[in-house]
Amino acid sequence: MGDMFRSEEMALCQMFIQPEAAYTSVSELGETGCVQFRDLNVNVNAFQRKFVTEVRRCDELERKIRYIETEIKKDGIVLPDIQDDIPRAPNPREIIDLEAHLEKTESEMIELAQNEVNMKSNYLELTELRKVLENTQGFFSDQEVLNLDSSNRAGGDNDAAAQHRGRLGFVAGVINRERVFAFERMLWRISRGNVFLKRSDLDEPLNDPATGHPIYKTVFVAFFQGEQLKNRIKKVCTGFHASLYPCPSSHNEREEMVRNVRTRLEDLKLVLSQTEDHRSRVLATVSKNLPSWSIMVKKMKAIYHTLNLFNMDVTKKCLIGECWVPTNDLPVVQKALSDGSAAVGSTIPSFLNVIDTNEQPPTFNRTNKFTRGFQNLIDAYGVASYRECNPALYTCITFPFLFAVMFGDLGHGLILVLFGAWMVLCERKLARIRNGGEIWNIFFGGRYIILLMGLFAMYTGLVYNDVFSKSMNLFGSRWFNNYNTSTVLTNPNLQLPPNSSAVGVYPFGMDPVWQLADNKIIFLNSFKMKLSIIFGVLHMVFGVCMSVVNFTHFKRYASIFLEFVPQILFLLLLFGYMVFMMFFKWFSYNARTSFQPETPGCAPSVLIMFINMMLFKNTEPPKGCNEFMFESQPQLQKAFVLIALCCIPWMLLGKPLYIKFTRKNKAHANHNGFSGNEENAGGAHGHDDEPMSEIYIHQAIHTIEYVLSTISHTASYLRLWALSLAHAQLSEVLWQMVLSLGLKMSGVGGAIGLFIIFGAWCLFTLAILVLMEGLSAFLHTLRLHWVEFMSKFYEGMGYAFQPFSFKAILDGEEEE
Amino acid sequence: MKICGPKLSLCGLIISVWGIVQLVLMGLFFYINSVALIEDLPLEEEYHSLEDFYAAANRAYNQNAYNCWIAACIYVLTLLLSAQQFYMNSRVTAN
Amino acid sequence: MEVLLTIIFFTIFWAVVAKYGPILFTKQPHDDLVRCIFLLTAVVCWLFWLCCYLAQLNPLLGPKLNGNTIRIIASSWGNPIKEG
Repeated sequence: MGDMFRSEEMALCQMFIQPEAAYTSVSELGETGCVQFRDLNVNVNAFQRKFVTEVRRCDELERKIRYIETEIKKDGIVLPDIQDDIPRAPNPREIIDLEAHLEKTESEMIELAQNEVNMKSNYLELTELRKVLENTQGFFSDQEVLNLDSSNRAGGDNDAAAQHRGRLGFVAGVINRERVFAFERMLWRISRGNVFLKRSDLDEPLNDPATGHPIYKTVFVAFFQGEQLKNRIKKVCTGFHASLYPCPSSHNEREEMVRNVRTRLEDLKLVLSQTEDHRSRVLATVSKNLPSWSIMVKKMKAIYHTLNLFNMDVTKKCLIGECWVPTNDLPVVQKALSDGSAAVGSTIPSFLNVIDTNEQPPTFNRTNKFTRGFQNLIDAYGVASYRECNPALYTCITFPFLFAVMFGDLGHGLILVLFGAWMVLCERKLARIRNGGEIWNIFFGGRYIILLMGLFAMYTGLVYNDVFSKSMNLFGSRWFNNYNTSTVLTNPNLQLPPNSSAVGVYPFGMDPVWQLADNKIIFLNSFKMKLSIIFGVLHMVFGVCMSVVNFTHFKRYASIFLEFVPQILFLLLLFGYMVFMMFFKWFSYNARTSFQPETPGCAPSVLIMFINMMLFKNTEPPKGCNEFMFESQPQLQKAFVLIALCCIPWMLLGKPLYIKFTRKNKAHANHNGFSGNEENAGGAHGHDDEPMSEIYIHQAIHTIEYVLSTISHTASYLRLWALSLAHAQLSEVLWQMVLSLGLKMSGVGGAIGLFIIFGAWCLFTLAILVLMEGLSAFLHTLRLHWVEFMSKFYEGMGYAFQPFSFKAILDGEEEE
Repeated sequence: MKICGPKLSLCGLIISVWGIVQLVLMGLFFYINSVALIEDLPLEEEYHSLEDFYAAANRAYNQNAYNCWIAACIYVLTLLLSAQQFYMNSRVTAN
Repeated sequence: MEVLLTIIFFTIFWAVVAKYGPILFTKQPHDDLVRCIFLLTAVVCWLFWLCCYLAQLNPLLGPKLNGNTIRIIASSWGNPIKEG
């Protein structure tokens, strides 16, 4: 098992690159994405690194691009989607052009924006003036009738002389609506009630030139007497940010002024729309290239960041980098390096040295689109230690299968299959959906898991003979009715006797008669409980056996004898024996026999038998029955329990004593001048520096955990039974409580009622049975794998291989 | 004419297809007097003779079969409606 | 005899799936993965079927049915109720 079974072998490499080829080489490596660089300048601060200026330049470019992007978004221009032809990293010469271009665009944008703000504030002023002129019309009509010759140019400077004492003057202006009351009160106060204020609210809001937010304003005219008061009023106006406008008092002048203002407004509008056009033209041309520029800049920045991890040679002739490379990818890396050198026409080739190290390399499991989902499930628990065997390989099947044991229903499985198959078949198209939300991403990422879960659920549903809680009679039921007419007519319900009514065995799955039976739960419970224990014990035995694979790979052969053998003995002698008893019971007891001890009445409960075996107890069997299933069973059971008990001290003491022994030997060998370190390092792996007491404690904890967990984990697999029972019951209840109502309606309304109720049943089936039950079964399966299966062999202490890859960088940015 | 949005019309489409397939099949099973569906028949608990029971059961089976098929026909209508709505919606988004 | 034949038939069936199933996917480079998947599938599916089959091999109790169900079963599954 090559690919998935273990993580790939990694090599620590040293790279020597000519400075002029460095940029292109790293760019090539980023495209291949199979190298993880190590930081060689850990103690150099981020600002003192070699390529800081370049990184800053990229930051600046990114800022400009972001600015233009927001402007484009503001205008509602759609950026083209470029997932097919992603540009390569630009070479440094191209970037100067790009920089100039962006600079130009940005300054143009800023200038345009500035102009626009200016013009808009101009526009706002004019609009306000117009409003003032239009609205004051009403205020003045009274005065004119009374022929109160008020100052005709209230806002002007030269009207002071013309102002006569005793004559009314006025100022007109516009103020924010929320300030009006405070303003009015203030005016009243400073003039001791001698100011007459008239106002009228503007119906439509005006737009703030800088932000574009709507602002509500009010036009006011304040009448007053005397120069002194006028100055005070003006001060109040500035204090309240009210803008004053000149307003001639005579009607004709005002009319003319309004006309004037209107034409000016029209002109301004024209200019504004032209600037707007210009701006969107500029943005439209930029928007075509912007996504590819953005990617180019991101790539360039990533390259310089990576180059910052490199070390300069003492002679400053070459850059030195250290990296983890999967051994299989070494040729790819070599090729990328030579391509990088060739691109700049460098005569001295870059070269790659594999160096030896004691460090633990990163874990790298090469996945494809099918295995990625399963690998993610495992990695969510903990990344495998380097070269540890990877449970994801087996999870590909055991996960959907255990899920299906709990979710067994042909109909619900079919829904899952259809959903999964749709996502798998249209995956090219669906992968382009970027803003589908987190839930969609989870479903889509697990599309193969969903498909397999559905397929297995269909199989288990077929075996359980459940289609939306109904059974199919595919092969002909093997139960026949032998009662005669009078018995059937007089008894409300009858139990078919297993000795005469059952002829043969239904070949595939549950006999359909059970779905109709009132006592089906009793029968199904005993079947499903046994089923879940059988699969649970098998799953755990498999897990324990996987530890052998690890022990042989890491050359800890002693652990096979000191850990694996007692563990597997303990498990098999107790729970493996229980599984054996289940199978034995299925074979040995039947209803057709005339031999009394083998009749159904005498069949012992496997669970009680197991408990008695553990406690060395006896229960009196019913009259005429045997307590045990076969003759030498009590002796065998005693032997099994005793051996299992012996396994506990074996597990507890074996390993610590072995370590103590080897240490003593080693010390002895060292004393004699041998250095056996290298060979023993594998055997006493990871315990070299621990004191003996700690080793004892660890082993004690480990042993207690294993012994207790064997029992609790076996019980934990009963969730397979519980959930499958709950699922079957829930779907039956839904059918009886909802769909059955529609089916039992009679008459003309029956069909319409059925139509409505069927729709409701569909929705409930999807929401409760498929979605909710599916989720809960998924989580229980996940737990069974993480805890019950993986605790038997999986260490999960590694760290993930994170290669320098443009693809990962770009995808990661989009998710943020 | 557009009545419902893209999601509702898709939902209608799916449920209609499901309804047609399942109701036609269920009608068929009722028609051939499938044993599994006995609990869904409007039957009495007690019958005096076997003949009475079989006659009543047959009637109920046939009645349910027709009901299922009629309901399936109604789902054909909703299918057409949802399909038309779906088409309208997809055309709107395409433009 | 019938029991033995059924068990042998299904065992052979799943053995064939385990052995020749991967042929459907030979194009893939992940050959070992596909083989492992088919092997595991065959094992779990076979065992699942076997448990279900053996659980019904020697039934210790019979289904309890109500009157209407018995009558329908008798007429539909071709085993008319005896007079008497």
